[in-house]
Amino acid sequence: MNRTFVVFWKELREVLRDRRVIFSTVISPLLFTPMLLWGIGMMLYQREASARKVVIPVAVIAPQGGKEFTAALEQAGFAVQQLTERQQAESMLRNRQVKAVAVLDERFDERLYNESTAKVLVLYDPLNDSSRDAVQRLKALADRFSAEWVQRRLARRFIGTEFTQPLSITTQAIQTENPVGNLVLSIILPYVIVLSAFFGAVSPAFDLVAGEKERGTLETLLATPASRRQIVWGKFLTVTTVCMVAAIFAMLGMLLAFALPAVSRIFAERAVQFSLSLPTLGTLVITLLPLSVFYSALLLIISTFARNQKEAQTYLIPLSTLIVLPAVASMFARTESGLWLAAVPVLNSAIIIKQVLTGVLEPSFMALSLFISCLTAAVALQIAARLFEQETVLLSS
Amino acid sequence: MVAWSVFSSGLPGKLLPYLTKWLKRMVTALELSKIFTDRKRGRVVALDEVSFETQPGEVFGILGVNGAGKTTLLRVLGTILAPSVGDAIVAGYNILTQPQQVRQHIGYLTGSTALYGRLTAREMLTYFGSLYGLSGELLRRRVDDLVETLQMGEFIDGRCDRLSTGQRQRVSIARSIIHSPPVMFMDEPTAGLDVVTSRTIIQFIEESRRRGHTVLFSTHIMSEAERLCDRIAVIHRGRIVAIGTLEELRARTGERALELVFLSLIGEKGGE
Repeated sequence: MNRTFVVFWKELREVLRDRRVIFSTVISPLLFTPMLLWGIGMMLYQREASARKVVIPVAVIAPQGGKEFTAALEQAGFAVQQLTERQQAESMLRNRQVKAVAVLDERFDERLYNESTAKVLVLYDPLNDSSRDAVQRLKALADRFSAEWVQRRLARRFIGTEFTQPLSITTQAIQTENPVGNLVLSIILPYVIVLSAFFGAVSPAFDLVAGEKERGTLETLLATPASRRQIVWGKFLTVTTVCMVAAIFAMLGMLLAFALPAVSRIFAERAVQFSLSLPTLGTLVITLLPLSVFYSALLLIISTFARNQKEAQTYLIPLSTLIVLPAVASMFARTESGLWLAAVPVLNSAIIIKQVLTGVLEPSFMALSLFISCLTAAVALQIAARLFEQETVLLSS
Repeated sequence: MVAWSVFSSGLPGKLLPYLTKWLKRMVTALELSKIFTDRKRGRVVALDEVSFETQPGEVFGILGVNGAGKTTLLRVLGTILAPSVGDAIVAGYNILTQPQQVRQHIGYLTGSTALYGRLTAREMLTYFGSLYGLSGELLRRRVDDLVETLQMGEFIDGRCDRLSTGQRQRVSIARSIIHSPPVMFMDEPTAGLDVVTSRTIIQFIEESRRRGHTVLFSTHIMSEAERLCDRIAVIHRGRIVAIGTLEELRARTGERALELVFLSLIGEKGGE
């Protein structure tokens, strides 16, 4: 067997026996990611549900009238407390006895009935979540109350409600090749994939060269007939494989998580359906390959240059920023992005993943992106191989 | 030796390996120098025109203090480092033009007992055997032979990170001879090891000599050099200051104890 593959199989065997790697690339994405996201989804859902059910205590200061408004408040689930003094109301708000205070205009009823605008000032505590929720619900109530009064005013003049709505737009989604749920996936999945591929391979990459220097096993390996290029290729293939596996398991973990309604509700208004066809998965893997090669070479550069794993960790911090920034940017990038974004490593791969998931793959973007990814990967790999030839770098520990 | 150096240095490079084989020299070093450029220390001459040769079945000791250049010399001869100047022939192969063949014919052992912790001892030996080009039945038989010879039966299928220091050193020895090399390079193989583990190494060197293998053995432990080495090269600040049998070195310095011989040769005796 070629010595490159001898090194590759041995490294892969060792990596598969490393509990840290198994945990971070397999167990965590398949078990903990869905559990964590499910927990967050359930928490948000519970909070929303309880916010809908809960009776919110509010105070109303109505110098004159305001009975209809107060009734509407009570009907909408507010526990209304009538007050006369604003000072007392503010004090109750500070003490959290009420969540908001509605101060009605002095001529509230008069303006309401005389086809003018009745005004309500809402006082709230900006540091209190419940107070801010109460304001949201008050605003929603005000909209409904207002719409009802417009109808009443128009009816009095025998005018239909169409009068206030000269134009009406109705939207209807057409049947698409990919379900709408893929749009939700396209927001989060590229981010998760590009980060998992990188961080999943950090530990084995550092162990493979810096770790060998530290333990003193590298010298004995260099004394074998395997050439440095064969050794570095064997190690490089191992790290690339781990990158790919980490990304694939991260993807599976996310798909598993999104199959739970509680999770998809975090990103969409309601639970959504998604589907990934075999060609879609194939294209994702093709996109992942140059990205993994690039990551693998980058990590091997650090691992070879560092004298030990601790030193490699310090170099990792600035490099992580260069990976995390494009990953975060991918969440906001549009699928139909400018062609120049294909020249940005990492981000270009994330955008292709987005395009693949939503079925709007642009061939020119993909071609340029793959070219740039392969080019950067080749340059990084060349640097890693050259570094591995340098005896002063290789034997420093 | 000087005559040989002068003679061979004038030869065309391609003839040197044939001549070395014909003269039955297993290792021939010709004015090897190694210069490092260090950011802090500037230009460091680790090896300075080192020349010597060894015969088959000879245990050749390289004696020197820490930092004298012993490890650099073995690394250069083992083609782990490239010489800045000079040349060498190891087992009939040139270190500059045939580094892979040189590595194929040497065994390299250091004092470090570090192994791949997540592999078993058997996997470790199979891995190195494969790197040396062994495979299939031949490799399996060779591993089984070494298990028997080095008495590794009890722990051969145990993970290396669970082995004792002595067991690890036995696996290290087996790893370094899995391909039956005619030349062994041993860089302070007993450094930091206890008496029992060191004994395994010493017995192994004696066994190698009996089998007719050449051993280049670096150490700063005088008793080991005295007991094991047929000839000794004293290296100091990158230069070989003397080569000979123990008796020759004693005669040259007029001292009896190797420690005094050594101090006298490196010019440190006046400091007593």
